[in-house]
Amino acid sequence: MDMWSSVIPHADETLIQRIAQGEQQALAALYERYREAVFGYALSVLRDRDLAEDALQETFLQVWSAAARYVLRGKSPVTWLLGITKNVMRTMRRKQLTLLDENAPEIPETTDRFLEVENRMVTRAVLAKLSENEREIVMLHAVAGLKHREIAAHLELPLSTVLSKYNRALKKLRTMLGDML
Amino acid sequence: MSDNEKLNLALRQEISAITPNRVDDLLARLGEQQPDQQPEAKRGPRSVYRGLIAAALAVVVLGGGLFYGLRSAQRSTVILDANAPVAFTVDGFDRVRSVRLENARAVSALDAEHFTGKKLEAAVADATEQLITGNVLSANENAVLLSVQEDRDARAEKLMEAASTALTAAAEKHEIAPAVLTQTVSERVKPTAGVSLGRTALTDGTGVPSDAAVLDLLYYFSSENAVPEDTQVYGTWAETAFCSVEQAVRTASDASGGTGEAASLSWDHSRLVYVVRVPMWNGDAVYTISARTGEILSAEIPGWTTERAPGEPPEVPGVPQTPSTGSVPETSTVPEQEVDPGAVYRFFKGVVDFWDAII
Repeated sequence: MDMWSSVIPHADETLIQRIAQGEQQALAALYERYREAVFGYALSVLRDRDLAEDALQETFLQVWSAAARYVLRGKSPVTWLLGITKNVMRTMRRKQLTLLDENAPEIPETTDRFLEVENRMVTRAVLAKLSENEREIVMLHAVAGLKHREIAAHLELPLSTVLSKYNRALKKLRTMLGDML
Repeated sequence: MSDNEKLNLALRQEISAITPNRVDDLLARLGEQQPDQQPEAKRGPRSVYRGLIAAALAVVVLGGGLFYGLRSAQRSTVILDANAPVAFTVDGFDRVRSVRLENARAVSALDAEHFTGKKLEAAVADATEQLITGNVLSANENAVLLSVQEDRDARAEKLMEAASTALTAAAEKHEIAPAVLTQTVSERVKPTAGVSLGRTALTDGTGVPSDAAVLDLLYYFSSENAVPEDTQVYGTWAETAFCSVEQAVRTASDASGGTGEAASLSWDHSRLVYVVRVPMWNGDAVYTISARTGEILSAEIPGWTTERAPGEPPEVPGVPQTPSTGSVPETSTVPEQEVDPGAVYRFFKGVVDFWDAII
């Protein structure tokens, strides 16, 4: 993080500070600004629209609880936010696993709720054809606007791996969707 | 707009269309929980508060000047090498302060004055554009060595990301998917005379020629699973650029009449070659085959040797030009196109097989 943003608080950091002081409107503003980034990221991991919506709501509930612990000059607000989303999804997956038993019907890897929506060809291609890492990387870059090195830090992968997977993912998508572009 | 940019935009628009907006639900649930509160700092009298703000602003203004001076004085080096290496010296604001074209090919392909003063991303994008226009970088010759000389890890990573993103985006506008070797070079490394810094860092101590084409270096390191430490690879080389191991073995087998063993990659000066051994009745024949074109460059056949200089048109494979030992007896004549060592081998093998059959 460069020196300027540590001296003059960024707008998002100001919002987080106001959330920490109990301002609901600040939370609403942050939600409005980042709901697409959080939802897109959650959808890329969970591949279920309902679960992604739950993860979105749960993320901002946790932001409300944890805002006071956000440290200025730490992570950028959006990576902090997506870190919360990552933890929320981890918890959701753990709960899913503990609910499974031998007699329960197999939970399909993907549900087709997003496929019911027309004209979402790119999203469908991303969710259906890319590996988990590739989906995360593409969604974090395209929708959340993270730079590749921020993605590398968030996913705990080397930068070159992120660049390689990103290029490979886009190549797959271009091959599938070429005529539509 | 490039295809990648269109994809990203389309994905953003689709996600935007399907993202729910349940802020009311969210706010309704907030009543159930309160944010973790930090104890409020005690506030002093207003005049003290104003004084603190004034002091802080003074520090900011003075510090800003110092900060600008320090950042401006920082220097890092980013080298873009697609066989025409260009080194950008970059300041703390990522602006190119000076440019060095590191070989004759770079001098003819690139305009150094065009890059000075630009942000690194713009300079790398422009350089890539010029390399493609000058046919130095192409779909068939798509490898680039990207080196960053900077000891501070975070700064090196930032410069590497900026340069590789700009390179990839500029190349993809021409439908070229580059294969990129990236490396971070310590500030202690100095270039060898006549060799760019990036090449020195990459090849020093590996036994690999520093003047080989980047594509050959990439293919060699990847195939031999010998990518040097602190070097990463992303993207893949052009599929049509190299002949396969199987093709090389087949070429040697066809030329010799024998059965070639597995080929190994090696270097013939700065050319990447396959070395294929073919067991013959009187020892092993060794064929050196260009990894790029698949043609036989030389053949060491027991009793015979052929060798062609680079660029010389290929002879019929396996045909000897000179005997390897002794002088030709005065009474014997050996027409150049008559003797085929492959046929000799097959003849003697037939004799041995016949002998085995009758015993």
